[in-house]
Amino acid sequence: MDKDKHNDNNHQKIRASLALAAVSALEPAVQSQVEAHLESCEPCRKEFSALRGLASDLRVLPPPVLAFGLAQRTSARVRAELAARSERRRHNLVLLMVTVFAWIDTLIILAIARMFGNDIARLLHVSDSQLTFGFVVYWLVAVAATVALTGHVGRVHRQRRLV
Amino acid sequence: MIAPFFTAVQEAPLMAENALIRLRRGDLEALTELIEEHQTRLYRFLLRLVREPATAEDLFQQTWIKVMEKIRNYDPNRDFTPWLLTVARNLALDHLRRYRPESLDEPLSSGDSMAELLPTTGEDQGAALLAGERSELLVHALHQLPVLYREVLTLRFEEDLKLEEIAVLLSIPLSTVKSRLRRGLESMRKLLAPDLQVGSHG
Repeated sequence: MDKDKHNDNNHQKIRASLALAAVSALEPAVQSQVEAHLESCEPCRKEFSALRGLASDLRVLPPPVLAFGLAQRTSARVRAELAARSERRRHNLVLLMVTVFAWIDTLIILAIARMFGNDIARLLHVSDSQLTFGFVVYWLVAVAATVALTGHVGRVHRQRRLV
Repeated sequence: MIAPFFTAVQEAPLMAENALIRLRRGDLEALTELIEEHQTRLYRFLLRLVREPATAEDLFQQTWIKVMEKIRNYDPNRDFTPWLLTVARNLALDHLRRYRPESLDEPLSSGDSMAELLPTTGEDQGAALLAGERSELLVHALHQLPVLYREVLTLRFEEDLKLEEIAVLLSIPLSTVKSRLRRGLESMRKLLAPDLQVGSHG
């Protein structure tokens, strides 16, 4: 009774190893155990043979048919993508430069206004408040121009991505 | 244990090495050479993962775009093919996660047997295996498996990678590769010929 149970346990254990045994993926000692079991077990031998046949079939599956011109199309798409990225980088650089310029411009205007505001007001025959108003308008126009340019570049990028 | 895998580049064809070096320098002519050299393996691998030719082709192209992005990070002392397949796999899995809500280790889509679809097997079974119809059924059965099993089966049998190489490529332990290989084979066996299954011992 115990011997039968032991044999059945051993059989189940071997059966669970058949797939790996069929592709020689077991440790040598376990592989030998499986092979020894196969000599005395017809059902396992059939299953082992079927699994080995399946593995052989998978090895000789014909490769899928490649779409005509796949390599050329891929190469062209990669080149186009690289060119688009290069252009995006250039646009980003331009945008960065414009932003930096706007800030520098703003800081220079503020410095001029503080240091030479009175002299300029006298030269232009305007009051301090009018001059300050003029600087503020100039600064707002510069900021608006930068924001508009940023928006335009962003729209162009989005359109290119959609294309 | 894995050392032979990483030294495989020494056995790679000289042309491929040159193309890789040129590509790293930004030579786009080398890209076409590499695509042509690897297109069959890469497309087949992607097709096995995503199962749809149009999607596989799109991912094929995305893979090469990604290769161009990452080529400067590629270690030329490593074999190019596993690196390429890793890039492709990541893109394919991202695609599957995005467009297929079910888990990547989903159970078989159905318990249906494909036995009735198989050509009649007789004495010339060996010859019939070579027939296109049989191959189509094998591919169909392969495509029914969860992607985690499919990729191990195709890498082992179609791409002829060693189990250790597959473990490195998939970043999983060798024991997991073996487990997926076993389950994949057993699932295919059940799908293809349940009537040939053997009952319990005795």
